[in-house]
This record gives sequence, structure tokens and C-alpha cells, in this order.
Amino acid sequence: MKRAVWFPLTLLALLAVTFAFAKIAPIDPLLAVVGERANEATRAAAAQSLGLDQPWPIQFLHHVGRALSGDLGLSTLTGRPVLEDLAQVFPATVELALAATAIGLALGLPLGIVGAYWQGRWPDHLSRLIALLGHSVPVFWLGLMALYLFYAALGWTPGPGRLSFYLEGLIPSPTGFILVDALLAGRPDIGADALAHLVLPALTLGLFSTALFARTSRALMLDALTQDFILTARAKGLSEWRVVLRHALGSALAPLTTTLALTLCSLLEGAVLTETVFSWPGLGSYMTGALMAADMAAILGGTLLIGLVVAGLNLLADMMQRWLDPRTA
Amino acid sequence: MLHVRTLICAILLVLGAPAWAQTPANILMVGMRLDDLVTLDPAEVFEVSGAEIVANLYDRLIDTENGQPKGVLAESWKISPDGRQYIFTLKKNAKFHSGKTVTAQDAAWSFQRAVKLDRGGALILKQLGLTAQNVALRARAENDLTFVLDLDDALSPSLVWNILASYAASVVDSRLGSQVEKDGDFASTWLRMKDGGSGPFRLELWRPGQGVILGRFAPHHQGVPVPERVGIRHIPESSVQRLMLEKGDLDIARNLSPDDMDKLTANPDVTVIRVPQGGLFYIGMNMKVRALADPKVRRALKLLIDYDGIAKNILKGTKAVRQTILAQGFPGALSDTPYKLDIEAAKRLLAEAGYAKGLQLTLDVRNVSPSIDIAQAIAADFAKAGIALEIVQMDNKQLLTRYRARAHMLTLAQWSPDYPDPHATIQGFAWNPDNADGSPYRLLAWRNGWNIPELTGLVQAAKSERDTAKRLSHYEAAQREALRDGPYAVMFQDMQILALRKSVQGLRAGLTPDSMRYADAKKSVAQKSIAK
Amino acid sequence: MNRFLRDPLAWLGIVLLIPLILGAALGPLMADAALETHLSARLLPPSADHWFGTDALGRDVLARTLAGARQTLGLAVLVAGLAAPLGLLIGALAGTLGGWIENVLMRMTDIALSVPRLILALALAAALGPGLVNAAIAVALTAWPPYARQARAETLSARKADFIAAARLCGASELRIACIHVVPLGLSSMLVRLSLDLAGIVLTAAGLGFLGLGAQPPAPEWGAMVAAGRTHLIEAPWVAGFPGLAILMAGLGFSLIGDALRDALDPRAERC
Repeated sequence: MKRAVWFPLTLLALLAVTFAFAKIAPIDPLLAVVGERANEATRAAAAQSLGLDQPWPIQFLHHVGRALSGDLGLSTLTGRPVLEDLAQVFPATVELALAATAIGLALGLPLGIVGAYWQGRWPDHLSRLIALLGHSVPVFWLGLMALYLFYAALGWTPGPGRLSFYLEGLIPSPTGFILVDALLAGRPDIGADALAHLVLPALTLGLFSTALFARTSRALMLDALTQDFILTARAKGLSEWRVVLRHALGSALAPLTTTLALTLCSLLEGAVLTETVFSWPGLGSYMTGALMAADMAAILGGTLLIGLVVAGLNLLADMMQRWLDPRTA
Repeated sequence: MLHVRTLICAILLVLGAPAWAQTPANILMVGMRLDDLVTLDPAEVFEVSGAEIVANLYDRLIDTENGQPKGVLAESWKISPDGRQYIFTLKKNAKFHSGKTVTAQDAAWSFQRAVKLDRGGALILKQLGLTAQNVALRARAENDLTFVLDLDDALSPSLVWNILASYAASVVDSRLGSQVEKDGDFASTWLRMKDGGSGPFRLELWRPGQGVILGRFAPHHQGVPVPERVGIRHIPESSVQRLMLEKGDLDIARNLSPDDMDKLTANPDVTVIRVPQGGLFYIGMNMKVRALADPKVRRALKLLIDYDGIAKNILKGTKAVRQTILAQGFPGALSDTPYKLDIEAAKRLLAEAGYAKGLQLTLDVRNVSPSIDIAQAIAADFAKAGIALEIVQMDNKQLLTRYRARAHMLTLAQWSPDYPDPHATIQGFAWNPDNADGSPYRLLAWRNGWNIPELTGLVQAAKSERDTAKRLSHYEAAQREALRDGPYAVMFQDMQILALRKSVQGLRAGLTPDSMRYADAKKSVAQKSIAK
Repeated sequence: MNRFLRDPLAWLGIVLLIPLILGAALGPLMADAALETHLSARLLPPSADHWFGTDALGRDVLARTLAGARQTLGLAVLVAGLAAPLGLLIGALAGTLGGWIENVLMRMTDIALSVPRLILALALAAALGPGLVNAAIAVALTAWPPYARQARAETLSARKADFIAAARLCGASELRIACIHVVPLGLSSMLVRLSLDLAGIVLTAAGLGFLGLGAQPPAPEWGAMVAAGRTHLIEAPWVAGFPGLAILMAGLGFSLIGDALRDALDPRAERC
């Protein structure tokens, strides 16, 4: 449970980093609060109420206190509290990242197994090439080209966005995940529309996760296939696919779950660029929009959220690994 | 990977993918830049996109059509014989989106809040002589159905109509307003993000950075609006707007670059419309500069601009050539274009004025496209007649500061009227009651030192002239005078570029952003509609 | 090394990198052609005169793509030069000194590792302002932790080695041991890590450029070129297409070489 102790410390470090960024940014923090036409008296009063007249260690404590109570400031771009904005955009990003993970698992795992089994032969080279391609392709470019080909030229997929815009707001949104919301509301047509919009961005981002899973599972399988118990199983005359899929893959599953959590982290990052290309209304689009408008509160709020989620996933991965494989405890 | 993807796409194709190629017939999809949208409160909006959306959420007492009033919430009206009192009788059947009946008290409260809040809309209503002190007395409800407006002096009725038809005069639900009011803010905090109107559409959704969805308000007193939903999606890139329009995901695209506009003009599924707007692009000539005080020099400069060449090569149809001070579309506007690039004639005029050897001038220019490009083209032609033109690039705020201090020689400036009446523009260009340096009135004629006591009197008279034909003849005289002798080389008029899919009909657009109405826009092709 | 040279994918990587290295070397010759605008020759498709076509300002896309190699490779080298030694030093110190210092250093590493690179770079670039150097600093600040982790692991196993114990017996200080004896030991694995990492660095840098946070126009930077080409994607896909291919080639080249190196040195290495 060592990690659980470090979790709050990670959070504190994140807060320190965002605080430092806010301090070095050449943007007047009062502009967001009182507007550009406020007189000096109003500005001074606002500065006082925000604690900006205090020495910076005190300001940092305020920063921590506000963040812990969920106050991430006001976004100048939307005029709403950053936390409210984040709550609205984050599910879209999670939806995209989960879909990409599913694609990565479905394609990457078989690729890794094939590569490990025929190590050094052409299936391995192919598997490695695909994995490395996924690792090296710029997602924003791939997304643009996919949009050009499948939407503009062929017309096979719907255009940019998460849902045909005219279908927005028709159903209540208790979860924020359109697919779930559509099922709950009994509107399969909206669900289908959302699913169709998901295909292209999820495949774009999915190539990246495919690469990660293929590489990791190849390494783990290579490791497992040389273990004694595999030799024993073979010696016992078990069928080859049983040896590979049951025994070798079985032993690789525990470390793979760790990879799963870590992959989700990398996907959050890839999502920022993918979202920009596909006008996907998630955290990435929100943060890049904020970037263009120099909206520091929104940028730092988003950074904090992603940092927090990544730290949480790492913790979860750790705990899962212990649970699945008590030897590492 | 590619084959996997192709396979999936092939499956989608088989499953009937073209279903999402076009939006349903009962939905109107608009793509536009919405990043300036920060408020939907009619008393506060000043931005193009806000004014347009507010116009579809809120009704006014009247609208104007060819300068004549047309009842919206008002059923009938009367002007007192002295022209100082306007009495409106409201329709009985108009309802707000909240279900409340629209009454004269709502109208009175709306005028009060707009003037007292003193934001964007107040500027326009103040032309009627309303102030925070007198508005409660001057704009009042006699009873539920009678709204009375008192003026200081008699004004030209068409000026009054145009002001009452602007977004500043939108009628807001006062009962809702009192429910959501906070610390005497006239409900402005709440109304910034929500809607309290009686217009043909309700605000269904506004997601900052994503877009706005308007839903049909079926009980609207003018009949059921045609589109069931209007989706106005924020799409900053011209190329994406064009792509989605071509694919049928948008019915209307609003912010097209000259390149994309060119390409769409050739598309048989798309109609590109240019709607003239009230804004003008002109060069102001400061008559405090000795050379520019000479009418021959001013005339020469007007002959040294390649109006058609700039419009064709630089502006590519995004602005139209215009030389009078009133934009096409306003009543009484003259379309004369007597000036063409004529270097020899300009040289003769300069020689007559004693500048045969040339002249040195500066031109203040905003540091944005297309201003800079236009300035460079002008400088090249000035040089041919011996005028050395130095281009001084600066930020808009800096430019306006110099202009208002009469510190410029020439300035390349933009004018846009605050409300859709000729008076807003004519007063700007041809009204200068006091040409002294300390004058409290610093409109364009003053800034360029154009001392015109007679013309000022004429424009003043036009504001109160109740005979429309006579009023417009005053404005025509002002335009002729400015064209012939005024310190302005008016060059271009703004154009709103609208690209529509051929199936879209009945969209109403006009001289100002708030004349864009979606209620009658219908799509001719029969398509599947969505259940609600 | 034999094993590396026998790997066909390693050769593919080398082949992919050659044009980029040539481009970076010839960059100064291309600088003029990369910046020269010809408004009459806008958005021309690929032809014998312009192999990659021209962009919205009539600039030759081939010249810009080649000149862009210098920007991207330069940035990658800068980042690698900053991040790898920093990580190596921190890891070696932690491994050698042990105790609470190790604990603090490795926690710092864990925390830095848990912040997504692009997000941190994005926030930092927003705070410092866009630009090539700021982008390099931002990427470097997020790239060092894996080196530190690896260096520490190498150090820990090396400490048990006989010659280290001998050095310690001779009275060498711990710091001296870390710098002179332990660090060189980790170099080979660091090289593998670095070549694998270069792909990631190139991609992050291009991503920042795409978002407008890298080198500023008119400098030919691949990510920014893709972003600019987006405006004309329909009628001129080559403007965004070729710079994107260049990023892919650079990324793939580095990954292939790194992967082959790793396979050659340690066929069972678990994670990159």
C-alpha cells in the first residue's frame, strides 16, 4: 500500500506545478475575474478576496485549499466554473479512450502472440512493423488523412463531432456517455449515430493502443514461452494452441492488466490531438481551445484532472497487479 | 491496419451508411464562427452572432419592412399629432416561452432594464431620448395591452421604427425576470445564458465552444415556425464549414474564405449569396492638413484608387465597390460610382492645386488583412501621380486614438452603423455642429475637420422630418455633397457571404446581423425526420 | 551487433532515416526555397517542377519538408541532450547513494512519470509562450524520468559488481564511483532507450507544432505545416500529406532502429 501513501503527495506535486505555471504565465489573473474595464478599487478588492496580496506560500495554501474544495476558478472562454466545464467534457474523452483501448486489445493481443510464437520469422517482422507503425504515426495527421479519405472522398463515415449536432440535447444525460445515455433513454437511433461518429477517431487512436498492446504482449509472451512450466506442458503432450493460449497467455495476463492501465494514460494524451482533428468535444478540444484564448484557469484545471486520473490509474494498476499476482506483493 | 479499417467501413456502407449523409428535412444546420458569443441577453449583446441568435429567441413590438413598421407583438399603433407620443396596442395571443401572456408591462420593463443596465443596447435606445432617470416615465404600460412611448422632440417616424425594430428593443418576460433577479441585476446574470423571450424559437442548448440549438416554439403567435430545430454549430475553420456543407451535414455555411467561396460557387448543390451589410470601408482625409483642405487634392486622391482592381484581386467579392456614404440597402441610398482610377486626371488636378512636383502623405492602417493589402495597392497607385504615401501600421485602438485626436493625415477606417436607419450613418459622416478642437461631438466629419454648418442643419432637420420622401431627399443631398467634396474616399461595402444548400429556401437575411431569421427556412427535399 | 545487422527491420529504419539526415544536412541550401512565396503559384499539385506541390503561399512543399528535417531533428537532439544526461545523473545518484536521497529522487521520478508529456508541455508552453526553445524545454522536462529509472536499476546491479567493491576499498567516494564507474555501464542500455525515445520526442514536438506551440511561422516545422495544410485539405491534400509522411518516416526510422537494437541486446526486455 506504499503507493496509496504517495498518491496525495503526487497530487500535491501536481498542484505545485500548476501553481508555478500560473505564476510564470504573463497573464493578469484578475482579468478573468473583474474584466478589463474595472477600475483600480475593484481590482484591489478582487485581489484581496482572492488572496493575491498575500506572500506566495500563503497563496499556494489557498491554491491547494481551493482545488481540494473543487474550485478551479472561472474559465474566461466559457464564463463558467472550470470544474463544471470539465465535468461536461471529460466523459467524451473517456468514451474515446475506452473505445481505442478495446480496439487495441482486440488487435494488439493477437499480433503480439503471433509475433512471439514465430519470433524472428516473417509473422514476427510484420507484427513488429505494424506495432512500430502505430507507435510512430502522428495521430493528428492520421486523423486528418482518415477524415479526408473516409468522410470527404468516400463518404463512408459521418463528419467531425461526437454526434450529429441536431441530435444534441434530445435525451437526458445522467452519465455523460452518449452511448449509455441513448440506451437508458431507449433511443437506439441516437446511439447508432454516436457509434458511427466514434468509428473514425477510435480507430485512429486505436492504432496507437494496438501498437502498445502488441509490443507488450509480444515481450510478455516471449518471456512466458521459455518458462519451465511451458516446457513441462509441452512434454506432457498438450496441444500447441492450448499451451500457448492457456498456459503462456495465462501467465502474461497479470502484467498485461498493468499495461492496460498505463495504456489508458497514454491514450488520454493521444486523445488531445485526435479530438482537435475530429472536433470531438472532450478535454483535448477544451484545452486546446483554452490555449488559443490564453485561458489559464481552464488549461491548469485540465492538467490537474489528467494528472490526477493518471496517478489514480497507476495506483489502480499497482493494486490489480498485487491482487492478480500475490508474488509481487 | 488499413485493411481492417476498410473492412469496417465496408460493413458500415452495407448497413446503410449514407443515412447520415444529410440532415433530416425538419432540421436546419448552420455552421458559423461563434467564438465571439459571450451573452444572449438582448440588453447586453453587441456581437454579430449574439444579435442574430437573440433575434430568433425574442420578439420586438414591431419589425420594419422597406422602412414601414410591421406588427410583431404590437397589433396596432398610433402617433400623436405632435409626433411626440407613440401608443402601441399589443396582441392578446402572444405568449412567452414560459407560458405567460406578453403584456405591455413586459415591454415597459424591458426598455427600463436595457437603459438602466447601460450595456450594448442602451446606446441605441438613448437615441429616443431615454435615460436611466426618465425611462420609467417615458416608456410605460397604460394597461395590460397598451404601451406608451414619449419622446423629447418629434422625430422622424422611420427613425423610431428602425430603433424599435432593433434587438435592443426585444421584449423580455418580466415575471420570469423577477423570479431570477439577483441583487437588482435586472436578471442579467440569468439571461446571459438562458432565454426569456417570446420568439419563434426557444433556447434548447448552448454549449460554449460547441454551439447553440434552437427549438421550435410551436405556440408562437405568428404561426408554427418551419424548422423543428436549428443547430448553430461553432466551426471556426472555413475549410471544415465548406466540407460539411458539400457533404450535406450543414445546410448553411457562414464564414467562408475567398478561396472556399470560389470553389463553392462552382458547386451545383450550393447557392452562394452575398447580402450587403451596413458597414463601409473608407479613407478619411484630415482637412487640418493644408494640402487636404484643397478640394482639388481630395478629388485627385479619390481618382487614384483602383476600386475595381482591389475588389476583384484582393477582396474577391467579400466586399463590393461603394462610393457614397450610405450603404446599399438603406432607404435613400445612392449608388453613384463616379470615381475610377485615372492617373492623368489626378495629375492635372494636383498640378492645378500647385502640387505638380508631388506631395508627401501618411496613411494610418490597421495591422490586419485585408487593410494592409489594400493600403499597399493604394500606395502603388498614389506613387504614379507623384504622391509618396507612407503606410503606418498600427493596432485598431491606436488608430482610433489618433483618429479621434485628429492626429492623422489619411486613415484607412471602417464604419458600421449601430442601428439600421440611415440616420446612424449620415449623422456619422455629415454632421458636425462644432468644428472646434474642444467639440463634444467627435463623429467622422469632425475628425476630418469638415466644417459644414449648412449640411449639419439639413441632417438635423432630417432626424425630425416626418415626411419620409422629404427626409430621404435631405439624406440624398448629404450623400451627393460628401461624394463631391467630402473628406472621404468611400471604397467598399461589407458583404455577408451565405452559402446554402440548394434545398434551403425562405431564409431571411438583411442589412444587419439581427435581421437573420430562421423561422421560415424550409428544406424542399423530403427526407426522414427525427422523432421528438 | 551481428544480430542487429541481420534484422531486416533495422535496415528499413536506416533507409527511412537517410533522406531525413540528408535533408537536415542540406537544410541551409533549402532555406531560401522554403521561405520564398509565389502568390501566382498557389496550391499547385505535385509535378516535375514541384515534386511535392506548393502550399497556400506558393512555397515549394519539398523544400519546406526537407528544411523541416533540420527543425525536427535539431529539436530531438536538443531534447535528448538535455533529458538523457539529467535522467542518468539522477538515477545513478539515487542508486549509488541509497537511503532517503534515493527515496526522494525516485518519488520525484515517479511523479514526473505520471504526468502525460504532451499535456505538461502544453501547459508549460501556454505559460512560457510558444516557440522552439520553450517546446524543447517542455519536452525535456517530461522526458527524463525513464532514464532515471533505468539508470538506477543498472546502478543497483552494478554496485554488487566486484570492481565497484574494489574501487570502494581503494577509498573512492560514492559520487566518484557513480560518475566514473557506474554511469558508463548504463550507456549501452541508455542508447537503446534513447533511440526508442527519439520517436516519441519527434511525435510530441510535431504535436506541439500542430497545436501552434512549436516553431513559429514562417519557419518550416512539420507539425505546423500539417496544421496549415488542414485549411486546404480537400483541394490540396499534399500540403498536409507530405510533412505528415516525413514525421511518420522519422518516427518509424527511430523506432525500428531502437527496437532492433533492443532485440539484439536483450531479446526478452519487457517494456520499452
